[in-house]
Amino acid sequence: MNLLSFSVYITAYFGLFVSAFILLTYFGNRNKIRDPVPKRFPFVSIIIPVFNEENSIGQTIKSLLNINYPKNKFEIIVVDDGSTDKTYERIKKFESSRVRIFTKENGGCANTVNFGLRKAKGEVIARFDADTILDKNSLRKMVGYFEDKNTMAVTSSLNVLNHRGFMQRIQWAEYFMGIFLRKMFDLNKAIHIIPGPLSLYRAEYFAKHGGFDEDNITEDTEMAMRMQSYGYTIKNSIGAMVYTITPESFSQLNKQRIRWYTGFMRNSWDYNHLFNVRRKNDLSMLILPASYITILLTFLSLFVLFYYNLQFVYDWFIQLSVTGFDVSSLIANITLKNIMELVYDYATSQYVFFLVAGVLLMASFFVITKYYSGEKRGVFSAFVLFTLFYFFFFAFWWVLSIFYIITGKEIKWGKNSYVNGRMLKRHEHNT
Amino acid sequence: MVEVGKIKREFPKAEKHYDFNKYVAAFSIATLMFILGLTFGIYLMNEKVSAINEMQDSLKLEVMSIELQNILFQDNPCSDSVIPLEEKLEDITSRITFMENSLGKENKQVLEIKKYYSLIEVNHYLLMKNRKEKCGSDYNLVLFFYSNKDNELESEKQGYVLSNLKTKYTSDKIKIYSFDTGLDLDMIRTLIYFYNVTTAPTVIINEEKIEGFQDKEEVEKLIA
Repeated sequence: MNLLSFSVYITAYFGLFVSAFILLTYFGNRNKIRDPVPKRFPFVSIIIPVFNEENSIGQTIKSLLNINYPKNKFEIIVVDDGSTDKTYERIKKFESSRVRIFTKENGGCANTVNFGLRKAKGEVIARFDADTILDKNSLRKMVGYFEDKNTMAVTSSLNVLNHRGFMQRIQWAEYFMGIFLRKMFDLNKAIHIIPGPLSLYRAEYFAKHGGFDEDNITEDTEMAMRMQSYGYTIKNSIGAMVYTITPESFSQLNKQRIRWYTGFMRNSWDYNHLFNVRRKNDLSMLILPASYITILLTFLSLFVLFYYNLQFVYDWFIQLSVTGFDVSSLIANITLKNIMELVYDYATSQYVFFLVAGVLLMASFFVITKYYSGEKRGVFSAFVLFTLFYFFFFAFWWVLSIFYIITGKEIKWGKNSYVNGRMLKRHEHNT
Repeated sequence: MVEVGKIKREFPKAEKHYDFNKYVAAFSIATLMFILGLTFGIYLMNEKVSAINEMQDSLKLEVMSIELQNILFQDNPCSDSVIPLEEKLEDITSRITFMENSLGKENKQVLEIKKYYSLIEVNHYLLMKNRKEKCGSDYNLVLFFYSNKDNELESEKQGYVLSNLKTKYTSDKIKIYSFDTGLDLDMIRTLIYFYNVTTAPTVIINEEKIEGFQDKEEVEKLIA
């Protein structure tokens, strides 16, 4: 058996096993997927940390005031993290009995949310990001999960607003997969990231175990792993749809991914006891290890792909160099017949079954998500681009992140610097 | 005790929470699908092998056919009737290249097919040579001896140069016949002896032997 066969088989088997497990989870729990109707409406304190969002914060507050939840059962707490634009002036206009406004010196996202926590009086704390749009019924759909006393957090379903464009479509497909996977993790008690945009927490948890880790570059992952370590339950509401805006530029996207992945590695390291198989739960035995195995297999597959196609590229280069870079004749040689032969060769390769199975499995996840989320926009083109290209970007971002971890390179975010996922120093305020 | 940043935390013992049957089921389904995939793969490989065998059989027929055509045309070389199409030769060449790339240059079946193809080439060459001498045609006849073992890169480069010229001048002006010196075929050994080929790459243009890699300009000079 050569390297190519080995990588295909090991990836195929792993993919088949994990997919089978996920689908078994789905088919065994179909009655538990829809959100429970809340029996009562606990008082919710919605905390919005803001930093330089003068254009969108007004709209955000207005839409939150109009959500479908008893008006006397929630308050909005807006905390301005030392914005340097007109954010504070904008939010001050909303101050009322239902909307409390605060401002403080810049300290980062986690620090700002913790500040809000100290001011909050609700039984349930909601954290909401400023540049996010939520569905009117989201809160209503999420609170029902708190009936179970062991539930300490509820995550929402993260969707994408700006879905047009090549990279945007690929990210949209990724988030879409995430909606499905997060619900499946919920059913296996294995949620290990509580995404920022809209998340709910039981207030008494913070009183007992402290707030967010202010030195962490991904404090939402730390919070989730901490809760899992205590044995608490984290649920997901598949109906509570929130729409976030993905980075529009490639460099911003890279920076975001480096933050996410270095943070994930940092928290995995700190919470490595969760990876102990002897804990005998789905999180430790399957879900967490699987996330790292996926990364390793991605690297392996990419290596094999390059290795076996390098020869091809090398030959082309030799051909061009001796013919005086006569590209036209090279292209003339690529006849329709040649292309058909190539396609036929790939389509009848001994691995085609696994390729097709992989694509069909992913498609099934998409179909299930589309059904439960009520997504109206067409996802087909996003799915195609995702299937073809995501793998390369994923590997690229992980290579970058590992590079940052190994070299201890600084990551700047807002006014702070992070090294290996931990805050290095707070930059001094320019006053 | 787990230390996260500056905070030390004490966590309770983990609650066992997994469904053993689900793991067994997932394992069984994955194994089943995997075996299915392997079986399908083996089936496809066998199909490909029989396709190559079919190609080999049809080439055997072509060899015999072109040998007879050669004999027929000996007496009437300038006849306008159908000459073995160069397109067919082109087609087989590209298929062989394709097979070399996907199955490897050392693959036994590929080598067998190359042998039959070489015989067809020699027959075609003799036909065209006879025609040129007797009918005064003005095309150039090129014999290209290459090696996949010694000086592989030079042979490869020469091959690309010749292909490029073949596309440029078409088969009306230049006819190229390639022979792998490493092939275990008496006919090729005879040619090597005949033309005194000692190294690869070697091109014989209109009966003139030139050794070593010749770039595009140099070859173009020799084919007037």
